[in-house]
Amino acid sequence: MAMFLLTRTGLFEMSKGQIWSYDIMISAMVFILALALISFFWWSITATMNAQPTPIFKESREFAGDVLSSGSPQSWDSVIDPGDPGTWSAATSIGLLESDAGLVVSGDKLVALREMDEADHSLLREKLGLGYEFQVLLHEFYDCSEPMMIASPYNCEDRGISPFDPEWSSRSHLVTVGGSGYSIGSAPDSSAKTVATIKRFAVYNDSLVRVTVLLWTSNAWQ
Amino acid sequence: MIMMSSLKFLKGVAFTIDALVAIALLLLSITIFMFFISEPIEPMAAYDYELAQNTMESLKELSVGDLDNNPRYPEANDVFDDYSSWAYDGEGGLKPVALLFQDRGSTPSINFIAGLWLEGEESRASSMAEELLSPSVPLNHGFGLEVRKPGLDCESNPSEWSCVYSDARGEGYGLKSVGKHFVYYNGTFYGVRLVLHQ
Repeated sequence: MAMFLLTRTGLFEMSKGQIWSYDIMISAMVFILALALISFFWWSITATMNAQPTPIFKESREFAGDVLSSGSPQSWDSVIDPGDPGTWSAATSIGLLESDAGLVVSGDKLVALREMDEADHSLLREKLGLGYEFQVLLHEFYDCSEPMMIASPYNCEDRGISPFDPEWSSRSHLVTVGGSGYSIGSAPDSSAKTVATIKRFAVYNDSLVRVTVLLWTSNAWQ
Repeated sequence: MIMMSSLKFLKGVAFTIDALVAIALLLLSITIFMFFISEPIEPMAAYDYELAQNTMESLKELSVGDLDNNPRYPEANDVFDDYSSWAYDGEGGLKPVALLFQDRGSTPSINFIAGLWLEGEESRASSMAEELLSPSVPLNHGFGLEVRKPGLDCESNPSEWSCVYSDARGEGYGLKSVGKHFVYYNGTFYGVRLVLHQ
């Protein structure tokens, strides 16, 4: 059947399929435009809210849960030699709490985990079941300039924090374990594009401490 | 374009379609390009709803005995040193909060703060709450500690919950998470809640 196109200059006969082609071209354009706009706005909203549980974030939450457990067996630090990776298989899972009954961090387990990290960081990461680089930090909170703190055995100056040091005015300090601030693993470097951070609280040395778990990768959108 | 021969009768139509297709492709390309080059805001800020309850659990774990003579907590020790001014009722007897202090080895710090608040020792309760929470709650969170006692809540509204201490930190009241605890005090259970928000 012949198709006709009505214009101001007259009625034109069109070739077969022209209207269909024209329609599909326009509808395809409208569809692509709509898709592009929706995609753009969806991307903008999710990037702004940044609330989607990505794999690295899920893994960081699981890792934080493992860190704030007692591990398995509960006294895993006494059944392995932290400096000898060959013995690590005796520990099924690694956690820092004294027991699962409370949120008290074990000093012995802190030391053991640090020694494991120093012995073989990559193997420890594998042992922890992590697919990303990791770091664990332990902070406590006090004011270096408080007379009670100055008079105490924990005073900041004896720990190398002078009044001219920026850390002096901060109330957040790395917990000292074995003479140095507790930080294990590797901090995100300049190549880190995705960093997932989870913070948890516990008690160590009769004080409130914040356990910060970071997972990071050089790849974006993990 | 393949349609041009059949569209000679409409000058400019083919050009218009070309332009529209080009714009559509351009928009699509930009979207895809931005998707791949963009990086998430650091640190990845998917909201952590477990933090408030975990904070509350740690305040339950931290006993009054842990705070006593601990140089990290001078405000709490000022309260303890001032025992005689808040421990006694008008008849010379001990208030229930004083009994909590006497049993400080097993009294959670959050129970003691709630006890002070319920006894009307509001400034002491606030200073202890501030000392424990203000430096430790991550700076990208505002927070408020409330006890179920009629008063003003941490958003300054009249409520069944009264605000022991809060710091909005300019974050407003957007996403919230709540850590809950119940304190048995003087024969009654009272709710205590910690609200974190971003």
